[in-house]
Amino acid sequence: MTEKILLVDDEKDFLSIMSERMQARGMDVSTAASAKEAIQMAGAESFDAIILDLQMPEMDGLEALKVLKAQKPELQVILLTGHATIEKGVEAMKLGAMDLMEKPADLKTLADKIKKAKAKKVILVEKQTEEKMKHIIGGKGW
Amino acid sequence: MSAYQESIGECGLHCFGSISASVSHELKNALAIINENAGLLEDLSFMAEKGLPLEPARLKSLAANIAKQIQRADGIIRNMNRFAHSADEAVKCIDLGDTLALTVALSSRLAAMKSITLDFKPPPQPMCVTTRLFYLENLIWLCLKEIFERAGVEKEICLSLRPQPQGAAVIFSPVDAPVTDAGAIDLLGYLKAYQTADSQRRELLITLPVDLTVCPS
Repeated sequence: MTEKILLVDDEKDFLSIMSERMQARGMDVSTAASAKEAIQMAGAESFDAIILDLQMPEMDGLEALKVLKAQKPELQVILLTGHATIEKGVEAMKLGAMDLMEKPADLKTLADKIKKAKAKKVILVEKQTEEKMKHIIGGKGW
Repeated sequence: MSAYQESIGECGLHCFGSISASVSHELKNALAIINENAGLLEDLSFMAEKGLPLEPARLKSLAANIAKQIQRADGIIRNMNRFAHSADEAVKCIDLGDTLALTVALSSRLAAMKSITLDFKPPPQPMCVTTRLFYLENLIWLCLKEIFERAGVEKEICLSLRPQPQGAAVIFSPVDAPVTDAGAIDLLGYLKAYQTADSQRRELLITLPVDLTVCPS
């Protein structure tokens, strides 16, 4: 099944070429050139994974990650960065990022991580549905 | 070493480190685009091997994308190299227009991260001063950093140069108040320079002596 991806980067040339290559591999890719635009899109649609640049104008990747996870905890976010420091990596993981990759990224590795992200999201959504069901059943006096 | 000298040294290192990090980030972005263009060329070759036609226009456009990013990376490296060499001589005679243009280029990513447009109006004639080039670049960078932090709704900062009776002034506008960063204040003293804020014109002037080696402290 096709993975639905949101690719977020302020480098428009990067967005266009990367999305073309991902689409050629059968992924359904949407793009956003800012964190704010990404938050709006993630609120309106469901994505299997979000590939997020760490350094962007106005709102950086870590701030965006916080908002995205607060909005939809099941979201799987992979951060892309030009310079990955250990501190940033640890901070990103603590905030709930699924992974962090350094630019230039290898598309095969990224595609593998996207597949894992999708599987992880499915499990989380199933768990959420199960808990909802338990809550509904528990709420009734059956 | 005195606390004052230590502060100047720390400022220099901090500025050099921050600018190097910003440059490496920009280079990585250019490399990432080159990498994806090369990857797409590879994808197209595989498709051609399977019998899909290769469009020459597509190949030309990919080659143009790669050339554009190489030019971009070359400009970034050139600026970094000039900046690194600015520490070669402790004191030298410099063209302020050139120095400001370089510092503005090196600060452009810092400005972009704050969504600020940085504009420099070069003077019609060269304006030369004898100063500590590396520390002057540090001072301008620290001023810009503080001005960006407090820019608020101002989304365009303009830099220019103006001759002064005893030297030349670097002008930042619109700016309403002097800079308060402790490192910048120490650097002003080290460069025998002073700052004045003109609230009516909304300008901050950093006035430098014509020759730091003959200027009284």
